[in-house]
Amino acid sequence: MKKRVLSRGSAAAVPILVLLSILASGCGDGQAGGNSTSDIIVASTTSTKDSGLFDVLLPAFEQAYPDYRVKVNAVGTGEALKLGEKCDADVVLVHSPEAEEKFVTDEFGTERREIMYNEFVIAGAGADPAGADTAPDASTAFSRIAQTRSGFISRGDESGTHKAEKKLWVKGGVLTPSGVWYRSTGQGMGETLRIADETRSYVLVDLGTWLSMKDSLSGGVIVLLEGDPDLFNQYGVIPVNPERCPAVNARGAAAFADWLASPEGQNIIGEYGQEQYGRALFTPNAAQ
Amino acid sequence: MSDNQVAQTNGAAASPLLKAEGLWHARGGRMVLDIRMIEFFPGETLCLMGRNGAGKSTLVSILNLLEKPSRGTVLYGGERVGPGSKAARRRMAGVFQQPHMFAGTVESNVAYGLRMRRVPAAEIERRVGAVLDDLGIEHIRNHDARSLSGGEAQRVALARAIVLKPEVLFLDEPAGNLDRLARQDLHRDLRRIAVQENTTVIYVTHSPEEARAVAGRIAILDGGRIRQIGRAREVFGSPADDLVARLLDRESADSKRLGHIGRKAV
Amino acid sequence: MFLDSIRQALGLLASAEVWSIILRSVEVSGTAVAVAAVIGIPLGVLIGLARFPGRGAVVAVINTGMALPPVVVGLIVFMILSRSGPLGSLQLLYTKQAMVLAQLVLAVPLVLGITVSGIGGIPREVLMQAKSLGAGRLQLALAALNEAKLTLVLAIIAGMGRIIAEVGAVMMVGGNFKGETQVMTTTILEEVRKGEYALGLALGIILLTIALAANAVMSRIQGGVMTR
Repeated sequence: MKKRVLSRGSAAAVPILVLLSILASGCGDGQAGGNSTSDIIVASTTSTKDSGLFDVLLPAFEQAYPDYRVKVNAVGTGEALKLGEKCDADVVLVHSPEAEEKFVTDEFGTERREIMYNEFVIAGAGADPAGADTAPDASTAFSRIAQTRSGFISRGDESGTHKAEKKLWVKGGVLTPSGVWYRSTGQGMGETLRIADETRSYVLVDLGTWLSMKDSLSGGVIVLLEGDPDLFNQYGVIPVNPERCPAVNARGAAAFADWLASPEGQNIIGEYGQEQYGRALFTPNAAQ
Repeated sequence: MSDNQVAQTNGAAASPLLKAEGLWHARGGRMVLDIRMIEFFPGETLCLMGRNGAGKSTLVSILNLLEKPSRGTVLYGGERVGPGSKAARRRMAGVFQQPHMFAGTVESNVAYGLRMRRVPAAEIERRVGAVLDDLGIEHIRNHDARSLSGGEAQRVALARAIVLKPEVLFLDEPAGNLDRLARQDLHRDLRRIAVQENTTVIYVTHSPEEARAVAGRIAILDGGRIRQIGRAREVFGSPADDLVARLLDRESADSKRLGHIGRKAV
Repeated sequence: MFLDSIRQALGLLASAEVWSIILRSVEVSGTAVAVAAVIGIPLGVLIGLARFPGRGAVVAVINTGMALPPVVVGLIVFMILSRSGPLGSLQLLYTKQAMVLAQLVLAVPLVLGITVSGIGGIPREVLMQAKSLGAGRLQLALAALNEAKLTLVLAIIAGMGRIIAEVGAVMMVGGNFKGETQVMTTTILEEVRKGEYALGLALGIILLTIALAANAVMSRIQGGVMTR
């Protein structure tokens, strides 16, 4: 793109160049050149960032590797992968195994490594009209919700959480949930949980968001079902393919991915949340 | 000569139509008007003269019931009135130095006051037509009032006021923008209408020539106070002091104005 | 890739879903602006014409209101309409009415502010002239409205432009429910989060077109005001 802009004789190129340089200087935090080799851009999800995990993870990594500075771009899983695809990130850390596999098969990323998982829980009104509380597993709870046409709030944003939800519907025998009882917000986990709370509806929510938000809710929903392996939410890390994107910080990306899977990184992940909530938010499970 | 004596010289038989007593007005903490008493009689034309800032326009604004004086009373036909007295205000009309046209045609501008008084449409049509004819502006009836020349706009402003057949007509430097011929036409129309309708005209001007042409009485204001008031002939014949004499002398008035402009330009 | 997205976007403009979102945007923001005009214009004329102690403070409050951040308004309306809020029993949260309410709060200060300054900009002589020709209190207000009518059109267009393009408030109180409370801006945000740029771009094109049209009308009006 830069080459095209620099081609001679185009009067329009001048304002575009000015705009680009403004954007570059705005993104670079005052540093020349925007992406110096010491910056690692991680495309990850809002739910991961909202959990607060990065706040303990990144300082520890930067202490171990003082040459690198990590910048997290927290977006939806879909957009995070898209950023990797467009070479706008050095490494992605998301939680949608199938989309991640495809990302690697399409050669947008080098290799996928499992890092940790967290759990989803099914929350809903205490009255529990569908009886999710007594369901043997998550997919049964989902099929009861659909049968009783009880209000359900979906993120509907193609996020990892939304994809996990869709799998549960299919497993529960509901191919495409629809009707006035099923509402799709297209918003983040926090907003969606708040909407479920306000409307006393069922919702699939990750444990981290639930624990950090439950005290600020109006008491409209409680946890009804948890612990089913179907509710485990696997995170993977994938460095962006430097053969497709020569400009990426390949070395930094590899260092970050390796460190996450290292005993040190895994240890920090396993401890996060113990102090504040009395339980870990993430379970580390990288292959050693 | 006291104000009281002036009223008597104007004929004790007639009672004043409009009268102000103990007027005192301040603007921005500064006194702009201080008049013990002034009276206006039915059918007379009184010229208000004075330097810029003498208080002429403020006096007109208060008499026209557009503005409330800080202190003092205005009486209309013996009754106490103020900016809230719509009925009294509707027996007056004003034409100001800058003729502000409302958005619309000449015809709708002239009809404005009649519409405000909820006069039936047929009568509005008739009266507006008559006035437009009378002032020789029938041909611009459907023109956009905001695209008129200065002279035309001034005539429309006059038509807009006299179509109401007001008992009191305020004219605040109505000839300011007009050339000599147009000014003469204006004075002729005015005299005719004032006589026909027995209108009381309160006419603000800088020009001794205009005052000679239209005034029955003249009041000279300075610093918000009445310096001299009386029949035009008397005031012209024996100015009370040097300032009055200079204001009434065409040449010195003009040269004073030139001097003023000259100072401004420096 | 950019060109691809644009091509896809243009294709999407033919879809019924896109048009239902556009219509909902126009319905919500149009209702909000209409109500804002009914409230803001008479009140603006009143404040514009009146002289009372504390008027300066009132005008300052209005001007601040013109710059209210939509998310803040969204949050406040959310808290009021929330189940635990004072009007929770009305169950208005996540409805089009809630969205209209939030956008109303954004539009009223804008309509009010522009009206007040428009009325204040009428030369005093014009109003004195109307009064001198016998206009009563209400008639004077009508004369002022007539003098400032272009400014009032401006106020309405500016209000519409502000709220149809805002996302913070409608997202928060509307919930962006598919097929229910989704409007153009919330859809754009959602699609971008998903990494689906085409639909976002399609709606962006519509929003830009609306903004351009509004701007063209406004500059024509402003041109008219100046040459008058």
